[in-house]
Amino acid sequence: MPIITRLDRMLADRKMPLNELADKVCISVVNLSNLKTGKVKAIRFSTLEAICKALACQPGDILEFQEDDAK
Amino acid sequence: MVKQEKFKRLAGSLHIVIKVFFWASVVLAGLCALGTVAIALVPAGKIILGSTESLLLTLDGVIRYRLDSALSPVSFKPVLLTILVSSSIGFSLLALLFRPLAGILKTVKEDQPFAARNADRLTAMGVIMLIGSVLANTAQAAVVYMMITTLAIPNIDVNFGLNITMLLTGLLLLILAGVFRYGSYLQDEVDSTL
Repeated sequence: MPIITRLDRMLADRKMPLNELADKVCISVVNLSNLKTGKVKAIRFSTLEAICKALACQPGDILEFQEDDAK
Repeated sequence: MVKQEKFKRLAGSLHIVIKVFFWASVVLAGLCALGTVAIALVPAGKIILGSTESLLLTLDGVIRYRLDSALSPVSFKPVLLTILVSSSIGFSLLALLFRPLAGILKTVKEDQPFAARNADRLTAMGVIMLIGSVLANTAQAAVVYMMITTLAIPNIDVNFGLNITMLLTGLLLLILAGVFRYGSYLQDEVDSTL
């Protein structure tokens, strides 16, 4: 998938464990883990807003576009 | 939300009822199949419908026919065999219909009405209804024809065609299966959206 998440990088930068972020944004650890591993197909703006607020970052810090190698 | 809980409870109750119907159909289909084998092994001379002053028959569930003249003893074996074979096929089709229906009700009870398998279940039910639309009237006609022939009832013939209600229901179930397939796709999209 061309859009990849850098959530693990941001969590490491902020020194925040995944379950703490899950509590702050009111999303289950399983779903956040799916987001971290790229298994999620789409993300709502409201969810992105909550994550950015919790991590004090910009959407561009969490989401990155990479051209497919196959193309 | 309260209405949804009531709806789920209703689905749960119906699931149990349909499961009972399913197992009853399986048992009855089995009994009819065994009965067919048993009757087939009995000599025709042992299953006799003796002479009687009058015999009341319902040939199609609506019209009752009285045979007033005394009958000479006649073997009822062909009629019994036809009834048992038709019933066995009928109960088997019912069982095949109730099983996917029970599965659908279970997913509704578990708050997953658009589970991927439900579209396949509805397709199966639609196909069974289409098959039943041909078999139902054919089986009934076969039983009636056997009765008419065996009892030599004069001036009555058999006419049969497609069961239109079952045919339309089958087609509607197939359309509904397509709707549920799209619903399942939408559910998957929602589930994989954070």
